Amino acid sequence: MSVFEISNEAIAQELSDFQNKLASGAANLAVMKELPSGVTPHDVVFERDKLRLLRYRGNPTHKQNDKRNKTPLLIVYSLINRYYMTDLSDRRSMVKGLLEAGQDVYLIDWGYPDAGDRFTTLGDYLNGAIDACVDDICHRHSIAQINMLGICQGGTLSLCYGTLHTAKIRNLVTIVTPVDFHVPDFMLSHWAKNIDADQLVDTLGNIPGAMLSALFLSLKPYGTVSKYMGMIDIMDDASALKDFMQIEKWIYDSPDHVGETFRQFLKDFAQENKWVDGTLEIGHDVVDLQKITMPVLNIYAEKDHLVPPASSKALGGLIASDDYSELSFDGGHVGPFVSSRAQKIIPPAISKWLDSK
Amino acid sequence: MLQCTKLHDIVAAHNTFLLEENMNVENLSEELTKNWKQAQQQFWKNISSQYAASGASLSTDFPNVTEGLDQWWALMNPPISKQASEQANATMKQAMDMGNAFTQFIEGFSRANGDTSTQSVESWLSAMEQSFKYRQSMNSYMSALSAQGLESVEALRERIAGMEQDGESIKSLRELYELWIDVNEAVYSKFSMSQKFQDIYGDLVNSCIAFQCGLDSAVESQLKAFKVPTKQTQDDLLKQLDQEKRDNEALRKQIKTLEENDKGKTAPAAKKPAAKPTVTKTTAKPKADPKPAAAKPDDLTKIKGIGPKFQKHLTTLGIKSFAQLAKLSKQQAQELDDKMELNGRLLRDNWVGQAAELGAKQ
Repeated sequence: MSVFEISNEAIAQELSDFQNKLASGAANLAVMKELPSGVTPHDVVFERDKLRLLRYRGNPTHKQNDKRNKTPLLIVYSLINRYYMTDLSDRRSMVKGLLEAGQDVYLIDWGYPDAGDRFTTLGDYLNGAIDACVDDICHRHSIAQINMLGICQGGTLSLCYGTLHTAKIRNLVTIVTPVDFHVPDFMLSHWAKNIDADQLVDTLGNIPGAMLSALFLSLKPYGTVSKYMGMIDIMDDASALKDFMQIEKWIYDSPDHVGETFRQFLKDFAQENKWVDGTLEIGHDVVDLQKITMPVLNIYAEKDHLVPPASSKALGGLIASDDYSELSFDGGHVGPFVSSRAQKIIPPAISKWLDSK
Repeated sequence: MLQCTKLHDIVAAHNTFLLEENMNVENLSEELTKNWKQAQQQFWKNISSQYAASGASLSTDFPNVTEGLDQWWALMNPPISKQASEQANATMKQAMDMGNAFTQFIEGFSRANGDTSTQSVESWLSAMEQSFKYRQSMNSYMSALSAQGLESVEALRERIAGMEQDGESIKSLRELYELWIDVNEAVYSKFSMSQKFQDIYGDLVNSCIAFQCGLDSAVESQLKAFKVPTKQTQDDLLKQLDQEKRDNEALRKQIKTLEENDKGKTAPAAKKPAAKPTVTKTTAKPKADPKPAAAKPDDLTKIKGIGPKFQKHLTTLGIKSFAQLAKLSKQQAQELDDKMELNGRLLRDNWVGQAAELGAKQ
């Protein structure tokens, strides 16, 4: 018996269905309006160069407002792609979820670095930009400590910040954060092993965002192709198509990565995994993960092909905090932010954990 | 390169000629007219010897321009009156200065080009070599990927054979497509985690960037000749800018700390009219810390890091409330830490911040 049991009629039917989907989908695409970059209302409370510190407005009539956590939460987003992945639409917004669960949410929008930022170092980000934001929030609320939530590379930044400014962080949440760069299935650091980081940064300066986008897509090239087949499946559903296009917009909205900081990430983290063996230096300080003594909640995605779960989970064994918890999410790298299932799980879990501290 | 050397020598010869003649209008009208033919001959002779020195052969004689010029000069150069000569001298001098400046510029350019020409040719050659290496790396990368393509076909065949054995079937084009994607992804993902992929990928990226780098430096060496600011100049400026930013950030923090310290110190005195210069005398004396008697005692052990022992110690130092602790400036906190011999623990555990929060909750 042959494996192929496809009748001519079935093929004709399939092709016809496909054409129909495409036709009605094309109509949906044609009327789609410009997609927003973040939806939740906010105020820009602090600016420094291209950086903007956003404070999201809570709903004043929301009953949760009375029980708002007095320690504000600062979201430190990655330097790769844009922050609004946390706030794609009303139905899919971690920011909104956290607000509704009673957190006072701030977020750092890094903006789009240009050639003038080429020599900005990791130390500048940590001791300059992030520290200025933390100080601003502390001053605003007359407090000495805030809660911090780092996303992906922003989680790595948050951990570094936590070791350098321990007293300013009350609780730390990391989501899909790379920690151990040498776990066996870490594709990005495997590829990065032989790259001449100095030549790369000295020649290119900032690393073009389009190049980074192409790199991330090339980790799973066939997945990228089949994703668009999936898009055709949902094209006749305007709302689902909009959700899809919102993520597409986010994927290709890729700022350049500051050269000097990229050099340090590539060399010290991806290639040499320095902080795992305690030899990472930022500015004149040694980044010692043992200084992370505050409560930590580490969230990872089980099917993450960019940051393998094992890389994130290594954190537990490297920090000195005796209050360390993990939350596993069944999904890919962006799943904890954009999947509709995540909306019911992730923000409430983070909020509950923060409120309990 | 040869042409550059020639140009440089020719311009240099011409320049020397002009300078040696130390011209003014009278010289021109008298001396130069007299010596024009001789000067022209000397000039062309110079050029001729320069050409010979640079190794180029001249197949034809130089044009016999001197006679023609002699006649032309006689026509164009009627006897100049003494009155007009002064003005003409000034104009001529200006023209000569401009001419000198121009020849100096040309000379400078040709010299710069001459000096860098070897380097420039080498950098273009090296860039070309990098481009070959890049193409080689690209070829290895592409052939490795196409080998994976063949492997994928083999893997697909095996998968289908397996399905046949298990009695499974493919019922639609979509299922076949998905199987194909699945097999390809699996083969690619296995290959991309291999040592071989790591090597060819590294080679590809490094050779591509080396090529770009080679092109950049070849262009840079040309730009230098035109005195166009180069990437190096830009980078130096950007580094300086970043340092300025860092310094500004540090100063901002310093100002903030000073302002906060100042607030604490001058707040009570601010109500007084500070009219007389004697104020300096009176305010120069540092005011004592807020009196302990005025403070309401709090349970300081609520602060993480303070136990009954430290609370007692703090009480003996006059600190009994959250408010008192919360008011401490960084410097005062450091002094208190020293006094209590805490080796920085007070700052590490952020007693001040904790006190502020606990105080705010009350």
